[in-house]
This record gives sequence, structure tokens and C-alpha cells, in this order.
Amino acid sequence: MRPVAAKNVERRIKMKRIKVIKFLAAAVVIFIVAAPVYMLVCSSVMAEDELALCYGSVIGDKEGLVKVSLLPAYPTIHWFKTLFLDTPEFFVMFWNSCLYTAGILTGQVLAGTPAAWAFAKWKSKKKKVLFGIYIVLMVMPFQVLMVSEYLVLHKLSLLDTPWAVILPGAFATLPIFIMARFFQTIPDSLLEAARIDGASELTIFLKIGIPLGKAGILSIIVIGFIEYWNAIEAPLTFLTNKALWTLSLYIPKINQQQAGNALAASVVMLKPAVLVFLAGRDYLEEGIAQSGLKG
Amino acid sequence: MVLESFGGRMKNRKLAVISSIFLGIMLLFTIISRVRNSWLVPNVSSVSPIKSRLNYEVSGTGTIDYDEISFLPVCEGLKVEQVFYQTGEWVEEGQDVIKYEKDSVEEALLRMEIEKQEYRLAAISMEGDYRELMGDKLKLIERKENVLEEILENNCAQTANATGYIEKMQVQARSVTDGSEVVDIVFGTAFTEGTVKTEYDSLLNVGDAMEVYAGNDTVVGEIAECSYDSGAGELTLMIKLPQGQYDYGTEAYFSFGVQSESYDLCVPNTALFQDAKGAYYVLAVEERNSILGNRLIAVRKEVDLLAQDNDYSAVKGEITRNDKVVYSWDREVYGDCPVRENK
Repeated sequence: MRPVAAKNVERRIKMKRIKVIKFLAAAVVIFIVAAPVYMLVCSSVMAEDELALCYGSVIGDKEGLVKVSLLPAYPTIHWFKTLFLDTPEFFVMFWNSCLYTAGILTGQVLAGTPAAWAFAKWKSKKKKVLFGIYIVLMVMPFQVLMVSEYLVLHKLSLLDTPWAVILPGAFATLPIFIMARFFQTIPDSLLEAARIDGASELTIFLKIGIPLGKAGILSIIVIGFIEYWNAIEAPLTFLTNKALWTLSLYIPKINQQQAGNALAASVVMLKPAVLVFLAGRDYLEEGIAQSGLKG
Repeated sequence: MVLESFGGRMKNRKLAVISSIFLGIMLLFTIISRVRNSWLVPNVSSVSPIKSRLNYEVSGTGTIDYDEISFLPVCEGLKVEQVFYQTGEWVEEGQDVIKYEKDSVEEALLRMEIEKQEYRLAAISMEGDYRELMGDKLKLIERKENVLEEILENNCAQTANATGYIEKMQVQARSVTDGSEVVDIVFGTAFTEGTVKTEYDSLLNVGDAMEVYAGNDTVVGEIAECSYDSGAGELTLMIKLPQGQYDYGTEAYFSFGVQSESYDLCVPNTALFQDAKGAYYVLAVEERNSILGNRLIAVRKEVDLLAQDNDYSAVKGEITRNDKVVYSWDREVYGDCPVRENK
């Protein structure tokens, strides 16, 4: 029979081993996830020659494999200088992206919140059917709805206007689904109490629903921002006027001469998404958990 | 908990500040890049290609010359008293040119007579070709004799036998002639001869009028002869001048305006560019939809150069008469560069 102390030591060692394995596994995952971002940032400060040397086989005529460089040999801010001083097109697209994202998110909050409240709290026989349709629409990818959306926008003469991107995004079904899940967590007894106190349905929605469902609203803002900031299909399909294009379309063709510029643009483009993510990380996690989305 | 944490945490405040700074920087650089872009866009002037003929000025220089020449016979052993005209001077027919001393003329006449007698005696004893030769000599002496007699009759002065310019005057005053001196007068129709570029070959014809600047006068001459020298690669023109007195030997500048055949697309010479490979192109201004809105872009269009004068180039290629080609600019322009058009 082994003494208790020896058992404890053995357990501790086992725990330590598990911790180390977990740490190593996490490190590997972090490395895999962070490597593209690290390479992006590193490459954005590389000179054209070095870019050609490292990625010439992908973006140029060079043969062979990509050469991975952990640090740039001669860091330069040339591409950022060019981007910020000589590329007004980049800023046009940046502000277009800001406009569309803000418009879509505002529309989602204004239209989606009452809709989600209705789905969550109103009692109707047809509600389930309607919600089912919403869910079906939600799982449909953009490519499926693209033609019908295009035809509708064409009929409304909205093609080649900012509304062509903003309106379909503003009335997207996913935010309603997520917010409805949040609103469903509000106890009905609380609403009943408010009704007994004489509160109207609008008052209940504004005074109880929104404050308590604020986390859901914020989570759809964070999820929506990340989705629409990087949107590429809708602007590409519904906007032919280049002056209305978004930042995602700034890098249409990467070649050796433009590679540095594209990398610098990508770094700048990454920043708002990172800031929003950092600010709303908790709500993003919660939103994902509520919606059951993964990855 | 969640609601409290959203706005209350320092972290989020910092993020809000960072976001604001980021947006501020983006706004600032939006303005800077637009201003810079606007500053760097070249201002250009453009024009549509026109259907036109090209105007060539065929020009060259030559010297005034005359097509006839008359030699004044000079006998040997004459003492020259005075020479009235020098090389390059205009002389009328019958005017005294050289004056000799009377004694020397008479002596020369006497010598001629003796010589004549000697040749006659020699000719008697000769036969065949030698006799004929003697005969020719006698004729020459007789001609000289006639000249001397004319001089003697004309108060010992030799007169001009044509109206024209003294081309050569080798007789000098107070010298004794040896018979080898040349005195000649050029006369007849004045002309000038010069070379021009061979590319004008097809545009010039005998009989075409041409302006000639001779001395201080401008006259209209006529092309008398066009000859192509393949060795030198030059076209030599002989231009006949109208009747008149032109300073012999002076430089004459001639020019002739000719028009080419009609070309469909003519652009100003400054609108025609040539790349390092020698290919010709023009930059046409086209409105294109770009990220910065509708912008004017200088689009490179390949052309072939057909002909060129001092102002215009006839071309054919990717342009039409509806295009507007860049012909002046305040900054460097190149293919696909944005431009601003001068109104």
C-alpha cells in the first residue's frame, strides 16, 4: 500500500503533464491562427525586392516555393506612406465601408429588435411558421438569394446605390434570430407584472425588453460589424460604380508591384475589426453561444 | 454584469479613444491624400484629330549663277593701262572693260604679222596633217589680229561682248598680259541650285513656283530641274529665276510650300509620343468610372505615323476622330494616368 503523500505527488505530476500538454496544444493552435496575421504585418513592412524574394513564386514569375521570413530584413514604411499619401481610392473605400456597415447595423437594430421582440414574446399561431421561414432564410447562403435580391433591387431602381448593400443587410434574418434568443431569456412574469402596473406593450418593449436584451443587441452589432466590414459578395454583385465599392474590393488583383500596397491596406483594414472585436468580445461570445453558431 | 462592464471598464474607454484617434487619422489622411492627388494630376489640353493635308516647306540654299558665259580674248604682250571692271561687277555689252597702251597693241599687231608670215612660209614646205595644223595656227593668229585691230580702233580699249557679270578678271592694271589670263562674263538666265530632303521627291515637279530670297529681293522662280542623287541621298533642285539682275555668286534661299494628300487623322506633333521601342502612340482623354468617381484618364492608343510636317502628324491606328488627344500638359502624362482638362 502506497502512502497518501506519494499518491498526491503522483497526481500533481500527472496534472502538471496535462497542463504542459494543454499549453503546448494551445500554443500550436495559437501559432496556426496567428501566423497569417503575423506574416501579414511583417510583409507589410518589407521592401518590394524582399517581397519578390519571399513571395515571388506566388505573386510574381519566380519559380520555387514561398520563402518564409520571420522578420523583414530592411523594414520600411514605404507601403504605408504610399497608401496614406498617394492612394485616395483607399480612403473612399474605407468610408464607403464605414457608411455601409453603420447603415446596416443601424437598420438591423431598428428593424430587427422589434421583430425579435415580437418573435420572442408575442403569442401568435403563425409565429412559429414565420420564424421557421426566417430560420430557413438565415441558413441560405448569399449565392442562393443573390439573383432574387438582384431582381428586387433592380425593380426598385436601387442597384448601384448604397441602398443596394444597406437594405438587404439591414433586414438580414440572423440578428433577429440571435436577439429573439436573448429576449426569450427575459421572464414572462416580469412582463406580466409590468402589464398589471399598466405599462403598454411599447413601454414594456422600450423599458424592459431593450435594457434587458442589450447584450443581445450588442452581440449582433459586433457579429454584424465583422460580417459586413469584410463583405465582398454584395458590393461586388450590386455595385458596378467603383466609387461605391467597399474596402474588401480594394485588393482586386495582387501582383508584385501592388503586393506591398495591398498588404499595408490589409493591415489598416484589419484594425477596425480588431477594435470592435476587443470592445465586444464578451457579447460576441454570448451571441455565438445563444445562436448556436460555431466557428 | 454585462451591461455594467460594457461602458464602465477602462479597457473599453481606451478602445473608444483608440477608435476615435484611428477614425481621426483616417479622416486627416483622406483629406491629405485627396489634396495631394488633386495637386499631382496634370492639367492637359486636348484636341480631336482632324482630316487635313500636311503643309511642307521645302527649303534650301544655293548660289546665284547664270546659264551662259562669254570669254573675252586676251592677247599676249599687251601693256594694261586700266581695268574698268573687277570680278563680280555687272557690265553692259559694248562698255570698255580693259584699256591697253597703244604702243603695245601696235607692237603686238606687228608681231602677229611677222608670225603669220613665218607660219605661211613654213606651211609651204609641209604636207598633210602638219600643213593643216599650220593652217589652224594661222587662223588663230588672224583671230587675235582681228581682236587687236578692234582694240586699236576702239581707242585701245577692249569692250564687253555680253551684258552680265564679270565672273573672272585675271588681267591687272599696269601689267603685261601673257595670253593665259581669263576674263569672262556670265549672262543669260539666272538660276540657283540647292539640295533638299529626298522625302519631298514626290511633292516637287518641274515648273512648280518657288520663292527665292536673293540678296534683298524676293522673287518667284520656277523649278527647272529635279535630280535625285541616290548616292548622297539628296534631291537637287535647279530653280530658274525671272529675268533681272541678280548678284552673281551670292547666296540665295529658296522655299516652297507644298500640300500633301489629304489624311483622315492628323494630330498636333506634340500629341504624338514614341516609346523606348520606337512605337508611336497618342494619349486619348477618356472618362472612366473609377473609385474616385468619374475621372478623365489619359489612355494610350497605338498609332502608325504616316507623314509629318512642322505642326501636324498624319496617323492611323486605334484612334478615331471622336477621340480627344492630349497635346499639351503641365506635368508628365503617361498611359492610364488621371488628368484634368483645361477648359
